[in-house]
Amino acid sequence: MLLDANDLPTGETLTADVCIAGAGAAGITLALALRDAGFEVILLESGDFEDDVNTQALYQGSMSGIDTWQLDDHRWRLFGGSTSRWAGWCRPMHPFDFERRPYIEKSGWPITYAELEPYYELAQARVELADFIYDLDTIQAASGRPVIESPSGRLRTEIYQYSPPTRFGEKYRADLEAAENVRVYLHANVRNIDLTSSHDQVKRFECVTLEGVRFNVEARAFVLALGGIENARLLLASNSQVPSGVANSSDCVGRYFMEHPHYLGVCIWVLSRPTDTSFYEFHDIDLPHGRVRVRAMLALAPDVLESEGLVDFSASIAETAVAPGDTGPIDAEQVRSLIRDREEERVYLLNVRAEQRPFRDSRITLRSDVDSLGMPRVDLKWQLHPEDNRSMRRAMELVGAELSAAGLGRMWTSTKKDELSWVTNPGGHHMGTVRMSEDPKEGAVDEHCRCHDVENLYIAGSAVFTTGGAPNPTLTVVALAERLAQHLKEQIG
Amino acid sequence: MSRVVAAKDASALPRRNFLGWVSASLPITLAACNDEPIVFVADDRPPGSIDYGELVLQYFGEAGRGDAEAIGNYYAQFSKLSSSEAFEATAETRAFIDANADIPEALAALDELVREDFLELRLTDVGGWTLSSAEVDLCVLAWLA
Repeated sequence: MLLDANDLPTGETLTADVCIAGAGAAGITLALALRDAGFEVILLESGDFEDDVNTQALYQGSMSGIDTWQLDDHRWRLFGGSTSRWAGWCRPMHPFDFERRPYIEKSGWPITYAELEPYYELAQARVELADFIYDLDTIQAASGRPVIESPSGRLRTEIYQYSPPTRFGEKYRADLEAAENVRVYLHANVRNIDLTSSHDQVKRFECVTLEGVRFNVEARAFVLALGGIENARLLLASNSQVPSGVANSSDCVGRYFMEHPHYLGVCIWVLSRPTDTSFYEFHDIDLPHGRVRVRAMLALAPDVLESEGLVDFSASIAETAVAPGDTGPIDAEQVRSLIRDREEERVYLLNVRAEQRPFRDSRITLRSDVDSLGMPRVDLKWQLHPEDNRSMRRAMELVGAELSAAGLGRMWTSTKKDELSWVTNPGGHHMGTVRMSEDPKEGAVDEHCRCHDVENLYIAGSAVFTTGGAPNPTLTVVALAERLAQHLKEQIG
Repeated sequence: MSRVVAAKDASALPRRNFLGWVSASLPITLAACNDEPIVFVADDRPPGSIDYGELVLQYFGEAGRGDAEAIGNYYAQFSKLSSSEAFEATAETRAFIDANADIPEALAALDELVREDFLELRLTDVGGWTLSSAEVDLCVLAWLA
């Protein structure tokens, strides 16, 4: 049922089996899965069904690292969360994303791909995609369009599927409204996490609305599903009992913030031979259980990433035009002259979306000023590891070499000033700030997304990502939420 | 193989003559250009060796030769190589060329070498372009020609 927290009498204490804070992709998925298991669930959402300026302003903060989009303009505080804006890019992470990669410090999740795969299949349905098929051969056969040649096997072609995109707020509102055992409270903000005296259990969430109604929620299990920034913010700000914040004995909360740095327009591929690149454009294909929009991307084979010590990425291609000077001192047409037997004039941009290494100094901290609820605002110091840009430059060099070896032209990568001068854009993917680890000293949550320090507190969403991988995070966020729901069913059922 | 043997005043000799002198198998030729000190280079290749100037012309074609020269020039300047140093840096590719009987054979072999360079990652970055090391050497030879 849908309720307004402003209608509660101040001082009210609500009770439930599970209390979830945040009604985005993770929170709604979790609520729906627990509804089906018959649990009494309270789902707290700060916003309403539509955008609200005052609610959105609660996200305001500063960016002292890579200065890109502001903190209140690429995440959305309303029922459905940022799925109200997402573009629908879906693909699972790779098995190697979960493994420890010796050349990436702090890599290695405490779970495997195989453990998550069944939940990816559930997540696929949740984002309204029929078949959990990302296998290149199957998709390519259904598409009938050719893969770009890779004579040495260095190139990998990745498949993305596209959700409609599912607006979780719109899509699942009626389901939650009809659920007798799920109470959705709008305008409900968690202001503090109150622990028991031993600090190893949450006693209650202390909540407040912008209109000043204060109430508490007690539950057997509590889940934060507020997003990669807000989860850390609330844990750090709940510091009245433990000065370093809740679940932060590892000093990892707020640290290891990761994005998917987007390098847009910094790689240009001069094609020299007529080539069908249509597999790498959006197109619809028929799979056994329905039609789906797909697109292929370029990447490097896992063994190349490993031997070169590179982070992963995926690159889309888009035909473009280049003018003199666009490729620095040497123009594309000059380089085209080097290619014998050239018979093609097209030029493509490669837009690269990359993984970044977990980096302790890339972090969220609390500021001294507060929002209108009295919550400290945050500063985000998003930083890349010094190796990340070198890694991407080398990766583009290898892609360029492979395209050239296939007789498909030459590639240019920006050299402006130095490697760090690349045009780095965010993807709006906030990951890693409450990272998952086997060792409690290395992260904040365990393999079940349960806080190492607090037995009945769980984290849902991309905050728990140990490493970010290259794929867009939503499908993995939803899969982890489905898996967490299963765990909660077993724990408190 | 050529080597630098002496520096003399030969400012009357234009840069563009350089590879012509080499290909003519003169006992002494030049490996310098513009306002740099002119350096005499001994060409110890046997008579009848492939004319590099003609080779790069055929490799890039009349239309592409100017672009290749510009790229060779940029590479040498960016790498802070004098023309003699740039010429020396092409030794491996010149040896590869010299192993062929004539220009048509050398062109076919160079096509394969460039492809192998990309496969074996023998790469040279020129202004952000990922190029084969052999094709950059050819650009340098075009510039020196």
